[in-house]
Parts: sequence; structure tokens; C-alpha cells
Amino acid sequence: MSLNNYFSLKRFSLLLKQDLLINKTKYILTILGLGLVTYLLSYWFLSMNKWNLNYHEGAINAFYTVCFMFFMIGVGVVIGTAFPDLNDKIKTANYLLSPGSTFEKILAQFLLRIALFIPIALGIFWIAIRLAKASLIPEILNGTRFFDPSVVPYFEFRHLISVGDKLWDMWQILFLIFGFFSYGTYLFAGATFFKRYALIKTVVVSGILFGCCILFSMLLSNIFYPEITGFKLKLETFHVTQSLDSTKCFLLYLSLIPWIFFLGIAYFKLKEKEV
Amino acid sequence: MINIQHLTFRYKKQDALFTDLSFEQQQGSIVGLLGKNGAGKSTLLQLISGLLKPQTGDLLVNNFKPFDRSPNFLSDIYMVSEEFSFPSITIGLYIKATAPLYPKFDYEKMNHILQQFELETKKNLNGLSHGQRKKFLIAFALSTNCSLLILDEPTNGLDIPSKSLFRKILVSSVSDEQLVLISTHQVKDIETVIDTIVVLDEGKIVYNESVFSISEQLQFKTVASLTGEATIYQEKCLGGHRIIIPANELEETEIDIELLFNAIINKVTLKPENHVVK
Repeated sequence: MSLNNYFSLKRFSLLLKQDLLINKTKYILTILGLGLVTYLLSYWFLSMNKWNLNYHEGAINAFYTVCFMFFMIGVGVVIGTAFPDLNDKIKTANYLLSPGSTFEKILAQFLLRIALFIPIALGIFWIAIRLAKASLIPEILNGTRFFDPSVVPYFEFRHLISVGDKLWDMWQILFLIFGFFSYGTYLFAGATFFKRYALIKTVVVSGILFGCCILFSMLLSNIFYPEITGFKLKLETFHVTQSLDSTKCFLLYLSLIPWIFFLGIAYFKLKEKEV
Repeated sequence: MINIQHLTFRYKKQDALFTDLSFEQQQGSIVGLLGKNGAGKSTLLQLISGLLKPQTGDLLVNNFKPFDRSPNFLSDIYMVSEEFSFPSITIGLYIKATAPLYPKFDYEKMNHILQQFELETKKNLNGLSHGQRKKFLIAFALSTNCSLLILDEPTNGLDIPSKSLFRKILVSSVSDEQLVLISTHQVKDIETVIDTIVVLDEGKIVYNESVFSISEQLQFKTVASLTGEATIYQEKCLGGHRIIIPANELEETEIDIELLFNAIINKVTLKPENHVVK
């Protein structure tokens, strides 16, 4: 089987160009909309918490993290609505018959929804939240305390991975980055798995899976640790390396590895897709 | 071009639609695929185009297994579905974005057909009527110059002048290297363009014959009374009967596809025996 059946740079660039030409307005509006909503919500959120921003040291990290989490939900929606043509039987037929290999179709969506979109989205977030902070105006709070926005630091990405001035441990940073990436690829794969309302179904299934894992762990805790009763959970932790115990190691693997499977699932689901 | 051997297909939780279906067709024809509602015409077209996967049997199109959806296979077939949808962009932009994916796309032919159909490239596809969008889709399909063109109910939604124009454009656009499969209920719309008639019934190809061969073997007439005619099949009509009789060397008649189709569906044996595909 020749490589040309799976990937041709010329064909791939034509597929990508086709998508960009047809959907460019939608993509631009999505990015601008995401930026505007981020700015407005961040401004509202920071304005509501002026007291804490000025008088609680380190609070800004938590506020910026909350803004980032909500922003990432928006990013998740964009990723989870990949393969928009698969929502509809007629569009599915057109999409499956468009001249490109399954790998090229997956790669085009991966590039547009993850590899290109996430760096752009992070840039948009950086701009929007700094604009939100810059829009804060000095005022007297409750008639007694002065709110000075110049004391509030501008957003930097290190705020998301630090407590005070201290950066998180490396495993925590990796867990966060790959956790987002793996969940993104999970939403991406869900778009090929379900026909309608793929994003909602994918999120609901992840909730159910998470709940089942917790329940299963509780069940095992009850079986193997007789002192545990009811809805309690006990994890036996041991050191794997000097800095990593088994729980941390498990969480790290849970974020580092799944994206490989999810991208594989997306490929084979698309390959076997019928109308 | 198309080679189907002992194909079986069933939708989930349903009885088999095709069992042991075999069918061969070479390039250089415009084939009319006829059948009753639910006979499986659209399903067969979807199997041929690679949108569905057969359970058993061999299915080859241009020596490709359609469901592999190899890019070289996909760039050489084009399917005009009965229902279709377009993005909200202009005709010109759609052509600019999509035509490069088809290596044999003929831009001159596209412009020529668009002119004949009175479609302007600056018009938004979603601002067009259903019939106009169908005409655009037909124009695009013909311009791709794909070896296999699949047209599912192409004349649905077209007005009378457009149907006539469609026939004219189809005949002038298709080359000997192409095969056109047309599935339709409206046999009158295509009876002057097809050169092969294939009838699908109860999951089998029950008839597969060229128009030339049918004309050699059968005659189609309307008569006031049946006396003296050795009819193979007859139907009452205003002022008499429409009949199928064996051909003679003196006279050749136009094929009444509707009558022929009814005869086939009513399991009339159309001589000679080799008409019936076993």
C-alpha cells in the first residue's frame, strides 16, 4: 500500500485550503467572539472582586485561574464541535466522499481545532484578560478603602502554575498541560463517535465514566479495607520515585497517555463511518 | 468499471436488502437504474460510492474497494444525491475551494454549463432555489469529468425547460471514458438519454439490457384493440392499450420505459430468456 493512499502534501493542502475558504468567516467570528466574551466576563469577574484583588495577597492567581478555566470550557466547545459535517446525514455523505484520505481529514481537523486553534486561543486569552485588567478603574470601595488597579499584576501564564511566586512541581505542570490536551482529544474523538449532539453526549459520557471510576474505587476500598464503610475511598500510596508517589504517578499517566488512544479512536471511527 | 459479485447487505436490525447481488457495468454508458420505492436503488448507489459497507461479497469500482475510500477512488467519482446541502458561500467560491480536489475538473465546461443553466458565479448558493442548486450540483458533477458519475433522482426539483436542458447537457458532456448511473422514478425524464436499462427488484438485478438490444427484440405500441397482436404485456390506456410485442424487421419503435418497467416488475417473461439476469 503506497503512502499516497494515506498522505499527500498537495492533497492535504487542498483539503485545508477548501476548509479555510469555506469556513474562514465562521473561524474569524468564533475567535473574535471568544475574545470578546472572555474580555467581558473577565472584566466583570475582576470588578466584582476588587476588594480581594487589593487586600488579599496571592488572590490574583486564583482569579486568573478561574477565568482561564471558563475560557478553556469555550475552547473545549470549539474542539468538541470538530467534524461539523458529521452532524447531518447529507453533509456526512459529502464529507466522506470528498477526495482525501481519512488521515488527511483527521489531520486537517486536528490542525484547525487543536494545533492551530489552541495557540491562537491562548494568545486571545492573554490579550483579553490583560485588557480586562487594564480596564479596571481606581475607586473608593465601601466609602473607606481605595482600590488601586495598578497594584494588580497583569496576567502572565505563570500565574496559572504558581502559588505566590513559587512554581508548581513539574509533575503538576505536566498533569495540567497534558490533562487539557487529553481531554481536548477526547472531545475531538467524541465528534466522530456520536452523530448528533456529539459534544453534549461526549461530556455526559465523561461524567458517567468518572462517576463509575469513583464508585468502582469505593467498591474496591470497601472490599480490601474492611475499616472503610459507606461512600469512602482509600488509596494505598507508595513511592515510585523520590518525588513521585503512586497516586501522582497514576494521575500523570492518566493525562500523558490517553490522547494517543483518542486520536486513534477518532481515525478508526471516521474510517468506518457510514451514512 | 463496476463489478459486484454475490453481494449481501443489510441495515442494522433489518432483513437483508441484497442477498447474492451480482452486477457488472463497463464505462461508456449512461445507465438508468430503475426500481420500486424501497427496492434499494439509493442503497446500491451508496454501496458503489463507498458510503456503506457490504457485509459479504465483492464490490470493485475502477478496481478499488469503494469502502476503503482511497483518495484516488474518491477523486474519480462524483455523486449527486437526491438531497443535498451547501455552505453559505457564492458559487464562485465553492468552485474555487472544491474544484482543485478533482484533478480532471474542467473550468471551461463549468462556466459553459452555468451559462446554459443561467446561474451566476456571484450568487450565494443558499440564496438559490432548490432547482437552481440542483442545477449547480449537476453542473459541478459533470465538470469534474470523473470516470463514474452517480446521479440519484437528478431531475427532481427541476422545471420542465431545465429537465430538457439537463438531458441536452448530459448527453453532450459525457465521454466514452465515463459511466453515468442515474437512479430515478421519473423514467420519462431520462428515457431519451440512457443507453442501458437496469431494473432492481426484491434485492436483485432482474433486468440489465442495452437500449439497442431492447429495440432489436421488442416493440412498444398503442393500439385501439388487442385483436391480432401477439402481446407480451399490455396495459389499458385512454383510447386503447399500450402493448409490448416481439420486434419485427420492418419496424422499430421508441422504447416505452414505463411500460417495460411495469412488465418487468409484474414478472412478465420478456423474450429472449437472456433478458433476465440470474
